Amino acid sequence: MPVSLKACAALLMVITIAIAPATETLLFTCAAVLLVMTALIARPDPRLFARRLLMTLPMLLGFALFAITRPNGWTLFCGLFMKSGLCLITMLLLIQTVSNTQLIGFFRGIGIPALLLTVITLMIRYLDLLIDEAHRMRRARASRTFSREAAVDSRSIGSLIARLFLRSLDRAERVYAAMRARGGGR
Amino acid sequence: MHIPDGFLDARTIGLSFGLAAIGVTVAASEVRAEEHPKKVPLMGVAGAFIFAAQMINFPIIGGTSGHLVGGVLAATLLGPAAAVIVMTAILTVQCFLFADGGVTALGANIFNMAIISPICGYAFYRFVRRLVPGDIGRIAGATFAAWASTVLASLACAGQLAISGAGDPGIILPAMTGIHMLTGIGEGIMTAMILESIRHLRPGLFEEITSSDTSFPASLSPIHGFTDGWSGMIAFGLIVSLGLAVFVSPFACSWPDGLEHVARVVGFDVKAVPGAFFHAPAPDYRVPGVPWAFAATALAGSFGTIVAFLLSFLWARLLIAGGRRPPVVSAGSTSVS
Repeated sequence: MPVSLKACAALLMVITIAIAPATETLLFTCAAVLLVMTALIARPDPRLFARRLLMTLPMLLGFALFAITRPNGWTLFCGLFMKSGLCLITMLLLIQTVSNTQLIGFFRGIGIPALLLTVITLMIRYLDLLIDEAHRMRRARASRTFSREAAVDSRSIGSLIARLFLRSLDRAERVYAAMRARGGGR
Repeated sequence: MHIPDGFLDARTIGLSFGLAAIGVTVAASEVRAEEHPKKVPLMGVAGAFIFAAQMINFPIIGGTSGHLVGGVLAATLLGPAAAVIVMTAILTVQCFLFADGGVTALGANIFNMAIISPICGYAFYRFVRRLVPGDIGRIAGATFAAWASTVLASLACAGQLAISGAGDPGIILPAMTGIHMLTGIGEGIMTAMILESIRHLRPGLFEEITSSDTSFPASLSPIHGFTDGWSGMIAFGLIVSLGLAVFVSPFACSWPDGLEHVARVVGFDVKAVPGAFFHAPAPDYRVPGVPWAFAATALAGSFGTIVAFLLSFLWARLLIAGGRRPPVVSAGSTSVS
């Protein structure tokens, strides 16, 4: 199935659910049935799916809690939570079946500004690298310093992030040199 | 502060996407016109850097932990226009790769965290630096800017939620801003510590050099090469104030009438759609308790702002005094540049 079709279908679904009033139970039921069918066909990795769902759900719940303060709050709360949860599941299904390269291709297709697209592409390229680097630096620091004091810990995290920035700066310098060497970056 | 899908109504989604699109377009043209091409790869890698930095949790008192958002950090390191692009890229990637923040709420999230946060933050930073020159001003400015822009972004976020009817405005506005007045402290402290560490590790990086960057060591140029022009800031200022006027002002006493008047003059027919654009969706927001709650929030907010402003100077003095204590380190790091 082409990525653009998949992405467009998911976006259409999310937008429909998000805009619909919170009382449209029939629409939400249909959406839920559709999602279950999609999930059965797509078969996403259940553990990754559950982990991502659990990471985002508390946030959803927090936002939905504000609804209680309205008159007839609990119905609104349930409606909003359901709407939001369905959208989240749709997006999670999409994310698990689309690769990063395909996603960048989709962004190019919908015509977002060229500069933003370049920055996003570079960012996705270096994201894993820098996250790994941050974890490595953290582990190295943790194995050398043994303070249980929060203040000391925060302070060293500040300098860790600063070092991470300086390394990124040097890396960007090398990337630019490599771009120039290949005739780009003008 | 990432709003998920389903909490904003159609007009808020439309308006926030419009504002975000204008903001990003202005920022992109600003970067294209004014910046060295070297800035583009730096922006990509810096985006990945801020993303990675957001994943590092730091302990807060009481066993809880927080993390950086980085809007002001990006603005002070890369310049306001580049920061808008970088933060937009981060939010887009978070939305489409990690389902963090909704697709339909992406416009609102970009407006709050990628436009208000770096732009207002940078304006506060410049203001404090003009007031107090030198390193103290720089660090205090960054601390205060990080705090204040977090609060402002949360205010806009609360306004968007309240205007969409996702809760009682009298509760959402004070609750959201109250929470972020606390988390903003962490943001301010961390931003200042990171900037102070960078200054310490590579002292030349923040020197004000206004001439063209080609004559300086290559690794130094990206930072102070950024533009500081008035035109961009005016455009951004207009976008931010328009957004705040639309999303927040309906909840502030007498403003809606003026806006309705303007809307009628400009050509919107407000009365055609009941409860349209500039009305708070909850007709009950004028219950006796709410204006008082709003006044109390405003009072607490201004008091908190003054305290934060003063504390940021104290913090800057502490950080800089603490950093100067070991003279060997500073001598060693000077030779690095």
